[in-house]
Amino acid sequence: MVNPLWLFALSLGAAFLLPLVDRLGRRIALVLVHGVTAAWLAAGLSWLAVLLSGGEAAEFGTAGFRAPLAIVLRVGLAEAAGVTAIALTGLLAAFSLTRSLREAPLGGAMALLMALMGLSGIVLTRDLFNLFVFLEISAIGTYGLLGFDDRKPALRSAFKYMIAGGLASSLYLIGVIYVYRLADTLNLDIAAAGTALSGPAGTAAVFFLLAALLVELKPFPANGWAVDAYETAHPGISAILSGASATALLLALWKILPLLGPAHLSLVAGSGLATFAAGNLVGARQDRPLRMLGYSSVAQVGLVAAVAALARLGGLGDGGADFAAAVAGGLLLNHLLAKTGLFLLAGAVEDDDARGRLAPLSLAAAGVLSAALVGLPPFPGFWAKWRLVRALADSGLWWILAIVLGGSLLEAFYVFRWLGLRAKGEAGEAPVRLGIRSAGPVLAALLLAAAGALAGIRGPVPDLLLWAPWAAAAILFLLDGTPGWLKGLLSVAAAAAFGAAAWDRLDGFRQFFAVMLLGGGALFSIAALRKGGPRRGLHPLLAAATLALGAILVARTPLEFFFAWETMTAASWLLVLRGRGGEKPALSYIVFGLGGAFLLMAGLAAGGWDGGIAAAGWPGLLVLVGLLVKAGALGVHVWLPGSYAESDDESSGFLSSALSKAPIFALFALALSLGAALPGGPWTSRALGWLGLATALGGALYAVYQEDIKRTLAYSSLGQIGYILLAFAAMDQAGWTTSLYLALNHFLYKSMLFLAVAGVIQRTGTRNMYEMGGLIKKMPVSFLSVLMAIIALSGVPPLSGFGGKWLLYSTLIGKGWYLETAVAFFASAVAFLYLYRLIHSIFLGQPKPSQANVREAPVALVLPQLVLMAVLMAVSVFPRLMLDPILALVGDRFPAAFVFEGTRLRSALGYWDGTLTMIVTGGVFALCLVWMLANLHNPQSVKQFNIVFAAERPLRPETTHYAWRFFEPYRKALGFLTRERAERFWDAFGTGAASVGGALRRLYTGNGQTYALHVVLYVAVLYLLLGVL
Amino acid sequence: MSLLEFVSRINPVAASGAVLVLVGVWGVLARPNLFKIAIATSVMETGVNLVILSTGYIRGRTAPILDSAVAGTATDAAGAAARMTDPVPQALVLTAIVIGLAVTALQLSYAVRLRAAGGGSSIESYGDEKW
Amino acid sequence: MMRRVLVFLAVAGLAWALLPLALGSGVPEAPGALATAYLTDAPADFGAANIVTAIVVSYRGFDTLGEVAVLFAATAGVGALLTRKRLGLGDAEPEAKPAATEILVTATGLLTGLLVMFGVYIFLHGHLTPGGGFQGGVVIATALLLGLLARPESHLSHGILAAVESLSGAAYVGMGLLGAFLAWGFLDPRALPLGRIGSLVSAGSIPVIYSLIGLKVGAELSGILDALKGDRE
Repeated sequence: MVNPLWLFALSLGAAFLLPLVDRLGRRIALVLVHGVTAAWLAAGLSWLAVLLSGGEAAEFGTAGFRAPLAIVLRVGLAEAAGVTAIALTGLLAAFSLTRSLREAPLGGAMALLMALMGLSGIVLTRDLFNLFVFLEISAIGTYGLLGFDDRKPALRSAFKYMIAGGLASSLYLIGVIYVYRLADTLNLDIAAAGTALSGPAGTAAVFFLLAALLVELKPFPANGWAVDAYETAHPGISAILSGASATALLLALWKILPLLGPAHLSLVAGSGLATFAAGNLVGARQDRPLRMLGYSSVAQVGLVAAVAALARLGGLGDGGADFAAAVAGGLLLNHLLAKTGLFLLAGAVEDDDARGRLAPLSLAAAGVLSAALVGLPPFPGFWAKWRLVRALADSGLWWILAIVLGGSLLEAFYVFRWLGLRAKGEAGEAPVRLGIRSAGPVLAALLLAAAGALAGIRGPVPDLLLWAPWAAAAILFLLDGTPGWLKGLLSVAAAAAFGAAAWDRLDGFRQFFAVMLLGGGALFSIAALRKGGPRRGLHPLLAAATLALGAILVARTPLEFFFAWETMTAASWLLVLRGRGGEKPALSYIVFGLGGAFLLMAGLAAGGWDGGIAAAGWPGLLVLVGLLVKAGALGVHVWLPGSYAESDDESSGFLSSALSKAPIFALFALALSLGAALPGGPWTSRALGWLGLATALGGALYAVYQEDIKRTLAYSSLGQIGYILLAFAAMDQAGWTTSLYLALNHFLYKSMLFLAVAGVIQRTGTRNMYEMGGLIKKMPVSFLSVLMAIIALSGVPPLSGFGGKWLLYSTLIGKGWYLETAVAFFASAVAFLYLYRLIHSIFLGQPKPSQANVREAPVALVLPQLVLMAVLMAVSVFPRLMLDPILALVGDRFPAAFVFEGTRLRSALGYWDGTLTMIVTGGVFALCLVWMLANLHNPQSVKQFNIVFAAERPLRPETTHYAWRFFEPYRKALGFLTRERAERFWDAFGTGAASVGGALRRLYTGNGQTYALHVVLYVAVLYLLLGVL
Repeated sequence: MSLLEFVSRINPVAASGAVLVLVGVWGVLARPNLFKIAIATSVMETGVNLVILSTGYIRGRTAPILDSAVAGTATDAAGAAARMTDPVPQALVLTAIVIGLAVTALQLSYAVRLRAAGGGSSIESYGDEKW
Repeated sequence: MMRRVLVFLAVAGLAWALLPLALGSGVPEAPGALATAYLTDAPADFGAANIVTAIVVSYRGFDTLGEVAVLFAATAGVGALLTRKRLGLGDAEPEAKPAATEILVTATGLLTGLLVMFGVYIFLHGHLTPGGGFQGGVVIATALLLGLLARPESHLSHGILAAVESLSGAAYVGMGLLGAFLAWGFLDPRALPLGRIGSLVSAGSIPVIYSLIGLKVGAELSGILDALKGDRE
C-alpha cells in the first residue's frame, strides 16, 4: 500500500511552495492544488482496492519508530473509505470553487489544501495528540476558507465558528493530557487495551476528549455556530464542511469509541438522537435552503453518531462491528454525497438569486440527491436505514425507532418541499441554468445511484426483476428527447415484458392483481400519447411506477417488498409533482406516502422473516395501518384528492384505477400470510369494516359537492376503495369474492371515467363542470363511456356494478352486519347524485359557445375506452368470466357462501343472474324506446339563448349557471358530515410540530457568544448526566 | 483524607492553570467585545497549557536535557534519566502553544476585518444569521 | 440577568468537571514507562542532549510538521483577510501614523541585530539547550516587530518573507523525505550523521530542521505582524 506519509509530504510541500508557484500564474497554482487532492483520491482508491481484495490493514510509523514511541498512521478499510470520501468531496467542491479561488487572494487555495490534508490526517492517525494537531489544521483551514472570498455574512459566521472551535480544542487538550497522565501513552490502541482509564479520573479524562469531539460534531443545541457557517459560506465550502469534515469527525469519534465506557456511549447516543430530532424539527421551519441543509446536516451526523454508539453499546444488531460499519457507514456515505451535491446545487441557485425552475439535468440531479438524502431506494441510505430499523425492532427499542422514522419523515417534508419549489419555480421566471456548476451535483448523484445499486444487487436484492423499474426509468430518461409514441410503445413493451418474465413466479392472487396493475400501467401509457411532443418525464415515471407495481407482486422477502413499495411511492410522487398544480399535493402525497411506508417498514422489520408479509400482533397492525394510509382510508385520506386532481390526467387515472389496488393487494397478502385472518383478530376486522364504510360514505359525500370534475372522481375513488375494504373486512368467502370483484370492476370503470374525462378536459380546457355542457353530440364515444361507467359504478342494472352491489349486500347481511348494510345503501344513494351530475353537467344541457369547436377525444383515449367498454359489456353479460377465477382464488379457505348454478350465482338470500338481468333490462329499454318513437311527435330542439333573463346582471356570471353548486340544497341537509375534519386535524398536527420547531429555533439567536454559552452548558449538562449514568 | 492532606496533594501549577481556564471561559462567555473574546480565548489556552505542563512536573527533578546538571558523563544514561522530569508534556505544550498562537492571530484578524467593515466591535451586532 | 445566571451556571458546571481532575491528580512520583523510555533511549537514538527536542523533532516530528502547517495556514488566512482592498482602504493614502519616540527608535537600532543573533543562537542550539526553532523564530519576529514600531510607515518585504517561508518549509519536508530515503522513516533525523552528543554539530538533521523551522516561523510571524498593521497590498 502507498505510504500515506508521502501524501502528507506532497500536500505540505505543495502548500509551502504554493506562493512561489503562484507567481507563474494562478491557474498553475490551482492545478497543483487540485492535483494534490486527486492524488489523495487515487491513494484512497488504491487502498480500498487492496483492502477489498483481501489485503490486511497496515500501520505506518514516523521517524523510523513505532508506537508508543512515535506517531503511527493506520490504513484500514474505514480509513481508506474516509480518505477517499474526503478527497472526493474536495474535488466535487473544486468545480464550484475554482472561480472564487482564482479571484481571491492565494490564502484561499492554501487553506483548501490544508483543510483537506487536515481532515485526512484526522482519519489516518492513531495518536491522540496528533489527532489534535490535525483537528487544528483542518480547523484553521476551515476558518480561512470561510472568509476567503470575502462574503460579509461568512466573515461573521467565521468568528462565531472560531469561538466554538477554541472551546472545543481546549477541552480536547485537557482530555488528552490526562489520558496521557493516566494511561501513560498517547497511542489509541495501547490506551484502549489497558485498564488505566476505567477509574473515575479516567472516565473524566475521556469525557473531555469525547466532549470536544461531540462539540465538533455540532450537537443540538450547541450547533448554532455551525449552522450559521453552513448558511453563509461559499457553497463549495459548506459542502466540504458538511460532507468531508463531518466524515472525518465521525471517524475520529469512531476511533475513540474503544476508549469509551457505557456511560459515555449512552451520552453519545442520547445526544445524537436529540440532535437528529431537533435538527429536523427546526429544519422543517426553515425556508432558506442553505440553512435548511445545515440543520439537515447536523441531524444526519447526529444519527450516524448515535448508531455507532448504540451498536458499540451492544444493544443493536448482531452486536458486531460489521453492523455498525454497514449501517453507520452507509448512512454516512449517503449523507456525504447527497449533502455535498445539494449544497453545491442549492448554493449555486442561491448565489444566482434565481427563482425559476431548474433545467432538466440539474433537476434530475436535485431529485436524486433529495431522494437519497431522505433514504428512498435504491440509494445507500435506504439499505442502511432498513438494517437499522430491523435492528431497532429486534432489540425492542421502539422509542428510538419512532425518533428515527419521525425525524426522517420531517426531513422528507422539508427536503421535498424545497425540491418541489425548484421543480416548479416561480411563475414567469426563466429556467435556471447552472452550467459547469452542475457537474459536481450530477457526479454526486451518479455516484449515489451506482453505490446504491451495487449495494442492493450484490446484497439483499439480487433479483434483477425488482430493478426493472429503475432500469426502465433510466433508459426512458435517456431517451426523453425522442417522440412520445416511441417512449409510449417502449413503456407498454416494458410492462408486457415484465409481465411475461414474472408470470410464472406469480401465484393466482398475484396474477389477478398483475392484470390490473401492469395492464393499467400499459393502458395509461397509451393514453399518454393523446398529446404530441416528447412530454418529458411523463413516460419514464409512468413506466417506473408500473414496473414498481409489478415488482411489489414479485417480491419474496419483506425487504424486497418494501424496496418495491418505496420505489412505487417515489415514482408516483414524481408523477403527481409533474402535474401543473402539483407542487403542494405532491408534498402531502409523499409525506403521507412515506408516513405509511415507515409504518409498514416498522411492521415488516419487526415481523417474521420466512418470506412474504408475515406479521401478526403489533407488527401486523403497524403494517395494516401503513397500508390503510396508502389506500387513503377516511382520516388519512387528505393527500388523495389533491394528488388525483392536480396530476396529469393520465397519471390521475393511473393512480386511481391501477395504483390504488397496490395496498388492496398488500392487505390480501397480509391476511393470506396469517392464514386468511387479520392481525389482532375479529375486532380488527370489525373496525376495518366500519372504517371502510366510513370511507365509502365520506368519499361519496365529498364527491357530491365538488365543482372540479377530477376532484369528484378522486373522492369517488376514495368511496369505492371504502367498499372494497368493507367487503374485505368480512373475512369470509362472500366478502373476499366481493372485494376482488369490486376491485376489478373499479379498475374497469374508473379507467373509463378518467380516460373520458381526460379527453373532455383536453378539449374544453377546464376542469370545472359548470363550465361545460352539451358535449354529447361533440364527444359521443366519451359520453357512452361515461354513461356505461356510471351505470356500472352506481350499481343499477344491467352492468356488472349491479352484481357488485348484490354481492356486497349479500355479504353484509349474511355476516349479520345489518347496520353496515343500511349505511352502505345510503352511501350508494349518495354516490348516485354525483354520478348523475357527471352526465348531466358535462354531456347534457346547453353547449357553451366557447366550446363550439370541441371535437371527440384523441384516438389514444378513445381506443382504450372502446376496449374497456367491450370488456365491461362482456363481464356484465357473462359474470362467470370474472367470478369463476375469483371464486377459484378465494378457494376453500372459507365455507362456501356463493355457488354458481349455470349462470345463476346463489347465496343464502337468493340468486343473481347477470345474463338474465341484461336480457330483461335490454327488453324493457327497447320497449320504452319503441313507445317513445311511436308517440313523440314534433320534438323541438332548444337553442343556446332560448331562455329568459330577469333584468339583472349577476356579479359573477357563473353563479347563474344551473350546474353551479348543483347540490347546494343537499349541502344544507348533510353538510355537517363533510366538514373537513381530517384536514383540520392534520393541519393542527403540522402546526404543532412547526411550533415545536419554532420554539427550538429560538435558541439560535445569531449571537456568537450565546452559541458559545450553549457549547459550555452542553458540556456541563453532559458531565452531570455522566455522573448520573 | 483530611483537608490538609488534600491541599498538600494539590498540584499548584495545575490548579492555577484550571483557574485560568475558567477565567478565560468566563471572558469568552461574558465579554461582548470581539478583541476581548479573542484574548479571553488566549487566556483559556494559556490555562490549558499550564495544566499540560503541570502533569510533567516531578518534585526534585530537573529539565530533561542531558548536560552537566544531570549527568557527570554522557554515558550514564540510566542515572541521568532518574534525575529528569517527564519530557512528553513539555513537547506537547510546545505544539499547543504555537497552535494557540496561530488561532489567536487568525481570530484577531477576523476581528480587525469585521470592525473595518463598519460593524463595530461588539459581537452582538453580528447576529444577522439566526433561527 | 438571565444570561448572567446562565453564564455563571456554565462556568460553574465546567469547574465542577475540571477542578476534580486538575486538583485530584496530584504530582507524580516518577515518570511513566513511555517517558522513561524517551529519557533513556533518546540520547542513544538521536544523539540529542535535549530530550524534549528529540521528541519534538523526531519521535513526534509529525506533530511538529503539522504545527508548522497550522502556523502556515494561519499566516495564509491572515494575509488573505487583511489586504488594503478588503479592509476598504483601496488606494486611499494611509493616514499618517504618529512617529515613534526617540527612545524606541534608538533602542531598536541597538537591539535589532542582537535579537536576530539571539534568535539564530536559540534555534541552532535547540538540540543542546532549552529552546528551538519556534522560540528562535519568535525572537527574530520580535526584532522585526520592533522595527515596525520604530518606523510605522515602513513595510517588510512581502516577497522575501514569502520566499523564506516557502523555501524553508519545502526544505523541511525535504529533510523529512531524506529521512525516509537515507534512514528508517519519514522525518527520521538519522539521515545525517549523529555526531558526538553535546556538540553543536550533532543529533543528525535535528539542528538543520530546527533552523529551517526557526526561519520559517520568524518569517511567518513577521508576516502576520505586517498584515495586522492593515495596510498590506
